[in-house]
Amino acid sequence: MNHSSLPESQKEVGSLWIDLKTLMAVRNLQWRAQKVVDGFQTGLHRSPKHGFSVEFSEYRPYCVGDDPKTIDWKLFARTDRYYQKRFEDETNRRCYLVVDQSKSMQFGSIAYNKYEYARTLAATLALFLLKQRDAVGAVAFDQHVSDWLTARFRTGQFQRILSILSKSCSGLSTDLVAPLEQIANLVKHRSLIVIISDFLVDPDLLHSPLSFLRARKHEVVLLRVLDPMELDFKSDKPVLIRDMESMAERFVDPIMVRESYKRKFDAHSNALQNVLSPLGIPFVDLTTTDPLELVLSSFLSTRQAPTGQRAS
Amino acid sequence: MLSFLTPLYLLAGLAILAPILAHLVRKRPREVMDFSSVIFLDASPPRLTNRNRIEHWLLLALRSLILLALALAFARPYLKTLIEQQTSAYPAKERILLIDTSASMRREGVWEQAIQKAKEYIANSQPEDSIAVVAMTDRIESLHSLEHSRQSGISERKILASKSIDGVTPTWLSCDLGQCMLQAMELLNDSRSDQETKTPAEIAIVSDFQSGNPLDSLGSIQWPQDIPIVPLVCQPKVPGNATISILPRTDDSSTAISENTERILVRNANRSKKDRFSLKWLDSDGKPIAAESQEVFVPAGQQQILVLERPTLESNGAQSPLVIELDGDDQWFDNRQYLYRGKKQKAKAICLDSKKRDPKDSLWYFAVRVPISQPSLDVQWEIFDPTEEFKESDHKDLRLVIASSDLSALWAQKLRELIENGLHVWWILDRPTGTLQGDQAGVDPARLEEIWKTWFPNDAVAISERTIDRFQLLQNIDMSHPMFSAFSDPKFNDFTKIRFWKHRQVQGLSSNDWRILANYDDGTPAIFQRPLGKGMVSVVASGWQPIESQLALSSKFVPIVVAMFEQASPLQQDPDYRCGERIPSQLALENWQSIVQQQSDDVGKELRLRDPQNDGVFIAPGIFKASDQEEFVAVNLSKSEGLTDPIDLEEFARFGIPIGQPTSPSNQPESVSRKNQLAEQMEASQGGWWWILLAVSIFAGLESLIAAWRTRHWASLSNNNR
Repeated sequence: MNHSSLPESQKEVGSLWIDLKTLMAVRNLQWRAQKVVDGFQTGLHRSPKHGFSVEFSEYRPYCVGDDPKTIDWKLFARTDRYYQKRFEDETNRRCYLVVDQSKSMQFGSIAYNKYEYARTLAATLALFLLKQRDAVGAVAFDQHVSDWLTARFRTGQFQRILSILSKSCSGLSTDLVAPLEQIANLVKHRSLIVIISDFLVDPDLLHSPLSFLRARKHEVVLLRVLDPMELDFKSDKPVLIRDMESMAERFVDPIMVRESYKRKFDAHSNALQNVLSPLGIPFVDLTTTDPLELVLSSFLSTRQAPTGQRAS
Repeated sequence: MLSFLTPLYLLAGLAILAPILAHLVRKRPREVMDFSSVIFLDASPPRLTNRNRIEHWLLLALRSLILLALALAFARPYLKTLIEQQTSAYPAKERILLIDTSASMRREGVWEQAIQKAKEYIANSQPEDSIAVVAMTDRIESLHSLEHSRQSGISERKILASKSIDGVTPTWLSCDLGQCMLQAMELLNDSRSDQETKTPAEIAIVSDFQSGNPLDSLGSIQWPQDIPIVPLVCQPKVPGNATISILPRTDDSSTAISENTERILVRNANRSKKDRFSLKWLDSDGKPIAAESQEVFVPAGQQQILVLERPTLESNGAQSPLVIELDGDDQWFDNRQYLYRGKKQKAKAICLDSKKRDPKDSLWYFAVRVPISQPSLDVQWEIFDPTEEFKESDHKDLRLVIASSDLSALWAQKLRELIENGLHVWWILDRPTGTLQGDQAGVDPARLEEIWKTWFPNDAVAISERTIDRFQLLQNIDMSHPMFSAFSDPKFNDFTKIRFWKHRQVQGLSSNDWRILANYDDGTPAIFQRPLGKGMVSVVASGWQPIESQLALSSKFVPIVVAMFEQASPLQQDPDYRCGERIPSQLALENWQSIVQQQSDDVGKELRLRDPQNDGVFIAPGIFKASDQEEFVAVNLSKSEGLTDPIDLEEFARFGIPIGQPTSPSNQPESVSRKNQLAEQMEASQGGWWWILLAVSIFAGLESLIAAWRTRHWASLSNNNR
């Protein structure tokens, strides 16, 4: 299943993880990431699902017609059997963290907003991947790509990533089409592209740039970050709602519109899913209250899932 | 019990919906919330909050109270007291509805109006009222009596009264409005005679109130002031009307009318718009006799008499009935007149006088020159010499005998029988009696006395010649006698120019038996008469020829001779039968059939009698004929029906009759208006609305205070929030 959200059972034990409110209250993004990754790795040993990795090396019996270059001769020496060794260079894999910096990401009905959550998540992922010796890059975008950092594995790369993520939301509207096309043009090598956004755009528009990315053999993961209020639109009194991007005002009585909101929201999600499923792009729904360790875990399980993206 | 003077204002109480709605509608929020995107949001209109969400209950209650109290104040509430409840019962009224069914109601549009107004009147009456419905012509005919109405249930009264009108149609009779009103008033008085406190009463009259209706009888009594009349006037679609009538033939010699002419009176109503008409004769089948018709111009409000030659139509040797019709009038009902001039009867007058004398000295010479024929009677003079034989055949049609002194005893004997059967004999003693101067021999008085004895055997009279100095005049003339009644007017009663040179004296007249019509100057009777059997014997004591007196040459002579004949044979007018008149006894029991009538659907019907015993009247115009008789009868509409100009209703006030207003839904009955008055008085005395206004001002003050406090409160709260 490509579309996933965090399991309820895991959320219930959220108290075991770092308190997000406290975490977000700390301004230092590096500290936040460090704490999450530390907590995650500590928890990892307790977890029954240990032993997985970002890179999955695989031995396959050699078949006639395979390239003989791929035969692992060392293993042949030990076992006297021909095995093909695949993904030999996984450790040098490149990953781009693409973070939405549009105005809508600034919305938050709780103590912190979506962008705060999104960049903490991005920093956490970056630190986690760097610790696995992967090359990590970062891209910030609103209606176009505003910051670009090529994926590398070198000293100070994490600091550079943090400097990009530390910038506040300056953009106006979310336009995923143009940034994704830019990314596709800029990223030459096959990479893992993690897009963190609220995806409040027409899903049909995403089809073409995502297809483009997939056509260039990139792995794509979508992490949708939503505020709890965006899920159910729970409010008790009528308010004048102002769109943070278009600044359009609309008088809304939550009691009257809640049902239709939910209906439209679900329809949007389904449409998004319908776009992503044929492309084999995993899609994770996150709310800003979800523990980051769990998100990390969920991300990794997504990577493990048979999406078919590995086929090269 | 709480009542309202103007309850409609209570509807204004609905205005409390306004503040309730205003409180229910949520105000547009002032705060603005930023949201990531509005693409999933529908705009929602301001909605009514739930009932439990009404804010500011106290303000709402006060505002509603203000509006309710204002509506209540305008509705003017008052408390019904016991007195008012007692007066609320409506006193039942006794009503008589007179419906004119005379011929003039046949005018176009009138009868429909009459039925409509009568039904409206019944419908607008109160259910408790008893209503009698009475048809009115020259008398009243009850269609639904007061007693019957009283005995029926309250719910049925109106229906029964209304039903009794159905099927009533206008008759051809005339209307005696005054008499009918009196009879209706008597009906009401009879009905209320046994009541201690008389119930209110009213007479409603549905009529065209034409000027032909006689009202004179209303002057004969004092109209009771507690019975008003309600005139419900029906007007025809076209106001004018022209009417014709055939004037009776008279023997008035001043009009140059021959026997074959008729005088037709054409009368045009005041309101007529037409003034040109034509008259034509029709036969009994309704076909025109002559191609041309007689044009006549009669301006509105005027009348004209036309002399028309009557066409002579004969069938089987007898005169045919005729119809004269007026063309060009809007109203048809009175445009035909029916005429039947029967065969002229023959009569005979005899002058018994010697023809041997010089005519200038004889009676007959002057007598036969007097025209004594009547319109329906052809009279012929015959002169007999007393020596001639008087045959049986001569008796026929004999009406008058004028005999001179030459009358023989034989003739006198023959005449006696005829006199006893009704003959009138004038015996003129026109010759001197006794021995005269010279060789002339006078009449033997003994012979005259013998003749006298023939007629009146018991009389002992002595006739002698009276010696006159110069002349005698007539005096003590009995002007009340038909002989002289024509001269009773002072213009004509001068008899001093008639001098009598000679006259006879009759002594021994019994004043009980003989009526003396005139005396001479000297006191001796000049003209006297006495009945004998059915007939009459009259004696004149002098002749009228110039040798005796100046009578024959005077202007009085012709009227006197005519009067002689009329006394013997009273003037027979042409029969002039009118609808509503009693059918004469000689016609009453015959089986009559109409020949010509105004309405085709009436043709062939029998001449109906309203009450065969004693109340037979003509009820339709036309020409009728009995199956076993040759003679016809022409019946015409009453003359008064043609006079259709409406009378001024003020006429009733002149007779002291109170005029009421018709009851209509907008015009409430008297008691209802009285009830309203009472209610107004009670409301005014209680003055409840002042107190309510006071309450309104208190509520308004409270509302202002609370609203002001709330405003300040919110203002301070919002300041603190900032």
